[in-house]
Amino acid sequence: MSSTLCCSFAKNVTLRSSDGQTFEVEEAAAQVSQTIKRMIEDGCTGSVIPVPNLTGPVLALVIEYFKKHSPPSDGCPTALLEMEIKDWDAKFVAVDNDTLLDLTLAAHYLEIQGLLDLTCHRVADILNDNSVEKIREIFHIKNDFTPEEEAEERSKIQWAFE
Amino acid sequence: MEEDLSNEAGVEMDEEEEEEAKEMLAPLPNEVVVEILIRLPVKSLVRFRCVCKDWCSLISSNAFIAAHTNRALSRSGDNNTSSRLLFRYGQVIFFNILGHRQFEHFSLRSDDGSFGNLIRLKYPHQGAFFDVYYNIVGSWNGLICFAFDHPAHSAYRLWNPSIHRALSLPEPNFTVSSHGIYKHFHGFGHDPSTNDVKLVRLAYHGLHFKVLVEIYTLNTGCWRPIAAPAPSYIVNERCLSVFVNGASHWVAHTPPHEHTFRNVIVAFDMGDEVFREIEVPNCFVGKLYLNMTVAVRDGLLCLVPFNEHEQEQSFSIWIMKEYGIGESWTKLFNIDISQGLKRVVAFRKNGEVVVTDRNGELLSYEPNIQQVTQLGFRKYSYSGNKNGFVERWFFLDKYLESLVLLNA
Repeated sequence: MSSTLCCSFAKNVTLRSSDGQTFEVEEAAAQVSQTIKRMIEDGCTGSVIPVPNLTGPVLALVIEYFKKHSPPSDGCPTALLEMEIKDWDAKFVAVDNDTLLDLTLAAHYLEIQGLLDLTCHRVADILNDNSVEKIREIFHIKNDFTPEEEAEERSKIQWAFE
Repeated sequence: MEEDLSNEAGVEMDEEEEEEAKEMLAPLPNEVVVEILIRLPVKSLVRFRCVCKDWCSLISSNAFIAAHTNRALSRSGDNNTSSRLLFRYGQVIFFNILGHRQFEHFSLRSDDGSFGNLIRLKYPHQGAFFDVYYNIVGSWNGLICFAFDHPAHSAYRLWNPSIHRALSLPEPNFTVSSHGIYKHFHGFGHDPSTNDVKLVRLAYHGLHFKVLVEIYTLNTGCWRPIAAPAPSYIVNERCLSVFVNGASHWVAHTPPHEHTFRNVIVAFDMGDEVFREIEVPNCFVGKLYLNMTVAVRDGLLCLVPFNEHEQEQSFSIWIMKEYGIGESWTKLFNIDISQGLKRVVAFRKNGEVVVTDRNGELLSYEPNIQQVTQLGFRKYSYSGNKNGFVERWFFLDKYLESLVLLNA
């Protein structure tokens, strides 16, 4: 069958993470990332494509995402497939906070709009009901207000803490 | 929040430094933080200003406030998001020449069939502010503009209930003492090109209905005269303004010294700050007392009944299907209620029209089956004094939460 033949001959690209791990992935799948797509179009496919902002484990996850979201070879995605992908997406971002932030950053660097929407939405959900202290913990943010400044800021917006 | 990408493989760090880096490193660039925060409701955002100084200035920045508002706006069109209405209901009873008792309440109502009360809103320093009656000039996505409607002493306030913030505007430049202003009209709206909120004031002075126009913009925080020529038309007495298509609109007519009497709609574009003229339906052009006012339905300019005086009653709803095109005026339906229609308060998502009748009752009118539902705001009976005089007012408009005024 010609379609199987086509798939088995699909062109692959090699991606290399910041810590030197390499991954082989179908070119069409990798083009879910606009950044990689541009690099392929610019003719960087001959050698390995470096992805310096992502560590191996994160790149491995992103490649999972590529595979799930690569355009189907047989035309339009069906409604059933879309639902399946939605479920898969929800499970994909049900990870610990640090991994989720790593994925968010990866989506930003690699310009994967779908993944960026997905992760940002998930992060926003997590943040929404949390305290200021918890937010600092999640984002590893150092509180640079003096206690007096923070107390003053809080007193102005007491209602938002109720 | 500096993006720190220099610590790539190859740079060696000892353990302590690494620990420090993890603590200090703001792992997300600003654009990503914005992508996340923009999805949060205003209450969380106001709280998260206390996270750190970067977040505080980011959330309070004009750019973020505008982006957050625009996102909420573009999503408010979705059918699955539940829409809310800002509702004002007030009543004053004058016992005699000296005494009166006044109350009013603000609340958020759901725009589904029930018109249910969602939240009672509390105006900050309510007592002091509402000693006198303030008109609502208009609201823009939940930001409400009040005017103390007397040219001798003009006072204006903006109020954003979703962030519990109100702002008193400075006094305008054209006053009774400076220019002999004897009446004025206002329009409130938004200029998307500059993300600015604007209040325009048409102040009439002199014998020949001369009009001075000044504008307050939130970004500058002050009043200034406009450069474009003022309209030669006279805005109808007690006329309400409506903001649609980027412009404020009023029903107006030619001044008495012109030979042919003509009704028009005057539009003031909040972007280029220029007045334009819009035709009224042909059948209303020469009508001497046009007891109608402008309104908005599904984003389109309308003419609706405004029977504030004891003249001939109007009851038809007209809609301008193509903005600015006089031929596109179309009559939608008549509001046929036995109680006598006073005015249209608002159009609802489900097609019903909220109106008041001659008794001051608030009703919801379903035009297809011509059914009237009482919304349950009955006139408070006043039994102490038969000479007591009651006045009531209602305001109803689309409501969205926003951060506007957060940095004002």
